[in-house]
Amino acid sequence: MRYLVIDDSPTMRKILIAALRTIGITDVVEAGDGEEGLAKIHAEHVDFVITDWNMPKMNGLELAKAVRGDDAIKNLPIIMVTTRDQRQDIMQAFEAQINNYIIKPFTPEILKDKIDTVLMVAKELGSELRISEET
Amino acid sequence: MKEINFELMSQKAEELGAIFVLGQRLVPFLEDIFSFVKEVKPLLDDINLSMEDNMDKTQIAARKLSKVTEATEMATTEIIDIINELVNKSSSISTNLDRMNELDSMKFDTALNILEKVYEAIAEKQDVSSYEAPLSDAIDKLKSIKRDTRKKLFDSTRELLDGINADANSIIMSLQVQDITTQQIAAVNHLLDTIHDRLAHMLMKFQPGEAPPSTKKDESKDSTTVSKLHRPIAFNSEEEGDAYFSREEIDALFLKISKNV
Repeated sequence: MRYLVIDDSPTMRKILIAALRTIGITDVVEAGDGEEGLAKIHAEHVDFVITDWNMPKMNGLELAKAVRGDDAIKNLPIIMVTTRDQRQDIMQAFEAQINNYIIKPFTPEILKDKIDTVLMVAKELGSELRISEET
Repeated sequence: MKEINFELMSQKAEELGAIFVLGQRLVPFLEDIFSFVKEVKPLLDDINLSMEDNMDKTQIAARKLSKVTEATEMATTEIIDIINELVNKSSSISTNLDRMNELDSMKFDTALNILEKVYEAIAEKQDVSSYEAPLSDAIDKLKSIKRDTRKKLFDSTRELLDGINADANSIIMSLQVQDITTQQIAAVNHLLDTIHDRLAHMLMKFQPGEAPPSTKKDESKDSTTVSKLHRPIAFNSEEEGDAYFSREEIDALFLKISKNV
């Protein structure tokens, strides 16, 4: 599976990639904002998105809405990793159909737990995760 | 009957007249004062409100900076502790390597000793059967070195290296503090900018003319977008209680959406 890490902070991208490596995930591509992320989703056959919320050009919420609105990629799992910890923020993410939500700071174990949950639910529902398989 | 002092009465009447004259002169002045107070009152009320608001904002800014200090302090301590562990582990690895080197030398010396003895015996056409017992001991010794001590040292070293790997990852995770503090400081910057703008606005009311230059940067030219992007955090993050979800609540909430996508 190919993972896409989207964050405008290069430090956070490195941290997320290191956390993924720790839990055995090495096929990772990265993007600096939602717009670049959306382009990479189409170009790099991404299977799972891990995105920040606050980003220039297109934020994580807008990215999620764009993904859910595109039939070709609407089932793509998205986890949001952000410092926004308020109830109203989380409800907004929920309404944008984000699959799971992580509040910074996080540990590789938390990330693994969330990824496993999203993948497990998708498997139970028989949802086609890989966009490469859908197209 | 008391005698009337007309002279005194006349004097008092003059004094009374003077008071009325003074009153006539004072009234316009008092009117000016009343009118000034009337005009200034809303401004003073505005100043009062702004002061209260700015005081709240400076308190929020101070709390945010305290959080930054606390977070950096915690992360730094954590990183120092991990580095201390790394130093201890690398020191143990160094000791293990020295010990392995010693064992290798011992193995080499023992093997060489045996070979030399066997070679001498063969060269001198001696009966080598007498070497059977010492050879057997030497072989056992070599085997025990290989099987026990050396294996223990290898296992311990591997464990230490795994630990170093985990510690290095912990350091990387601790560095999330950089992102978190950047956002808090951006929020404080925005609060300070807001206070500056309000004070400048108030000064304008007292001194009509050009407003003092803003300290705010032109964000459209700013490559760092954090201060612009994280504004909502600055004004909302101080709410308490119901404003937050627990981790379990988040999991339960997103489990629903995962099942619906």
